[in-house]
Amino acid sequence: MSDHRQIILAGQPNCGKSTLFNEVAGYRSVASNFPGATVEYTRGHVNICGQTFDIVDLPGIYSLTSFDPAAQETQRYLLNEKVDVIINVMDASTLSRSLELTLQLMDLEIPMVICLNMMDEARRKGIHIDLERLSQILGVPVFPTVAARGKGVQNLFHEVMRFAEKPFKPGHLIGNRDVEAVITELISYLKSHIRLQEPVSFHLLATKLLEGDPYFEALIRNSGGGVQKKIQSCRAQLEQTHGTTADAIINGERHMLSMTLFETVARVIKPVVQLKDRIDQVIMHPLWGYVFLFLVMFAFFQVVFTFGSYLETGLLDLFDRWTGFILQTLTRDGFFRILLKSVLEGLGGGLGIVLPFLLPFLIGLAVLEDIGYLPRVAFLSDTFMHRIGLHGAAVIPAILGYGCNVPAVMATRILESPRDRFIAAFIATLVPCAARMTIIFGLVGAYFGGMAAFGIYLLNIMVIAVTGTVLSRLLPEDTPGMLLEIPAYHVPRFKVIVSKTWMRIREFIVIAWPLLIAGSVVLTLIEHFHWMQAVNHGLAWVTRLLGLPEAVGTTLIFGVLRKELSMLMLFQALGTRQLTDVMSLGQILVFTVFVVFYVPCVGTIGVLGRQIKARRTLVVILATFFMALILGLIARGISELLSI
Amino acid sequence: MPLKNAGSTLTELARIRPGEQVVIHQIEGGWHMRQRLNQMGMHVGDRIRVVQTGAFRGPMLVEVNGSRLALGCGMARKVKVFVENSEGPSVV
Repeated sequence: MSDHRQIILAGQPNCGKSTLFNEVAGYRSVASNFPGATVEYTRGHVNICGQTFDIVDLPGIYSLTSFDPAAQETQRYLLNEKVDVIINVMDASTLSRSLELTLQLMDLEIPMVICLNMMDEARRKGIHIDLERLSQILGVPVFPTVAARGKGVQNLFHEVMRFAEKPFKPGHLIGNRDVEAVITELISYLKSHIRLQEPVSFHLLATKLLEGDPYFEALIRNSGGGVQKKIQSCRAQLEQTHGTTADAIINGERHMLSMTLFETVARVIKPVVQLKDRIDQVIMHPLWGYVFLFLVMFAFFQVVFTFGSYLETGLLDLFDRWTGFILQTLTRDGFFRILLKSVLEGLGGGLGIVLPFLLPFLIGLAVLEDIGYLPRVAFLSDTFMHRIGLHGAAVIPAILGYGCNVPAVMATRILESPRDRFIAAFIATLVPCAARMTIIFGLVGAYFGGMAAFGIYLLNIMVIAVTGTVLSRLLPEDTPGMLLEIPAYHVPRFKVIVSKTWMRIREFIVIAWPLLIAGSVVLTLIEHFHWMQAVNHGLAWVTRLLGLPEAVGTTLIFGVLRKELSMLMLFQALGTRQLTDVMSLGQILVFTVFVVFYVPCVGTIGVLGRQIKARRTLVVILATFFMALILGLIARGISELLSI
Repeated sequence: MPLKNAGSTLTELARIRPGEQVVIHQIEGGWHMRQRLNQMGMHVGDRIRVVQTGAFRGPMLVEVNGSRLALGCGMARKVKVFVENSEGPSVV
């Protein structure tokens, strides 16, 4: 923490908060079209007229009552950290809804300015906003911007700095008289009866207690029965006069205030109807939507694979030459040379085998995401994801998994229930990542042809479906169901794509890659001290069960450390690149099936441990191992029946 | 069973076809469900338009106060709406 003053960007998902952040603080945050995708908050510095401010981009929230972990983090941050100024970023094109959050942020009693973003989109929708009037009624400065094009951003921060010199706290808007009376009554009771550990504004506390928000209820848990009774009686009073639940009354009140405010400050004329308003009728159509999805996915993987193999050859050649050169010039012989070689091989594996496919994959995904296609994919897959006990949004981590399982497991944070996150993370580890893709194509693709490789992918999807179904039966819970904002389409922005790709690649580089290099060293040690025999011997029961040569045992360990290595080491362990000399086609098939499904790599295990904790990670490791064993046995049975 | 009421029909949101406009009458389900729908911009009394319905009891795409939401079928069944008839004013 520095002693600079702290500016917070807070707003609803998809309001352009992260775009604004990127505009002023560089490539450090990611703008997302998928609600809640910026899970870890991002921090940066902004320099205004020689003064440095800390600027923090928090995950989007719809309200100060939150459900998913990302939004809960934001809420906690806003309530507990020392914040100097809040910039409430709003999507001007959804002004009436965004105002509901603004009213709650004002309740925090922290100095605040409003950044009315996406003014161009609002104008297109025919919404004309009287900024001065809005500012006057709310008692908060309002500045218009189009962050995606950098418009108004400089002015905003200049004004923020001026405002930071002599800030003032926003007040509250007054709503329905009888509702206000109850709130005031509760506030004065709370003021005299409770002492809070954390500084929370009493207006916010009172309304949230009336709403029944568990976070705020926890704050006053130790305040005795009298307080609870008072809250109950206030709720009852509201419910009696309005004939509905207290939470609906408070929410309805906020909604009514926002709508009235919207009607006062905005003039809506006939919108300009564009193609992008109609496009959803095709792209989300119950039939054409799926046809389009299939075409997009097909083209996507085609491009990733073509581009990836091109990069792979180039990078591997280059790297091999460099490794040879380094090894020759640096060391002569001995143990150090072997160690250095293993580190270089680990580096090379990441650089030459995983990155060439991961990079185009993540770029492509970021493009689809920034256009706004991913929430539509979630919409289309909801039906199928429901069959396996999850909802549509859980398809996003699964898709990411085809690139690398590490960001995939991390992306499960967008889901609300811990149970959904566990199932989605489990499924994500089963998805064949770029490294496993090289195995599928290098073995089954090479010896059986492209269609067979495609078949492995189909088998994989079937296994995922069965696993999901079984898991959701084992962990029955009424999942909250899908409720997802479908943002307007955007023209993809270069800055956003670069920073998003970088964020995800960074997860691979800092978490998975070091573990892969460490793995490479361990393997070299095993080799150097001739432990191969012992490993093969220990794993003999697996290899024998699957009908594979015993020498294959070590490659399975290699595969846990680095997935793509199990194939390369297979060549080494068997002493030939001509696999058919030493293995039958059936054995190659069994090997591939086993390697695709068994135990996630160390990098993935690392993030699993963080996301779903050690015990459940162990469950995933054991379960995937036995699933792979069973599938391997089935593959063996089939190939023996067909005698291949 | 659809209920007749003063020129409008009370039914589940899940039954509404693309292109139709309805007014939310009631949100069933617990605190959690109400909160989630409310903060995404769906409240009792709001006018919404169904843009698209999914295949095989899939989710619906609705438009409410200028934003578009995807809503799972289970949730859409718990939202009771009035279909506005052309001849009479709505109840809400």
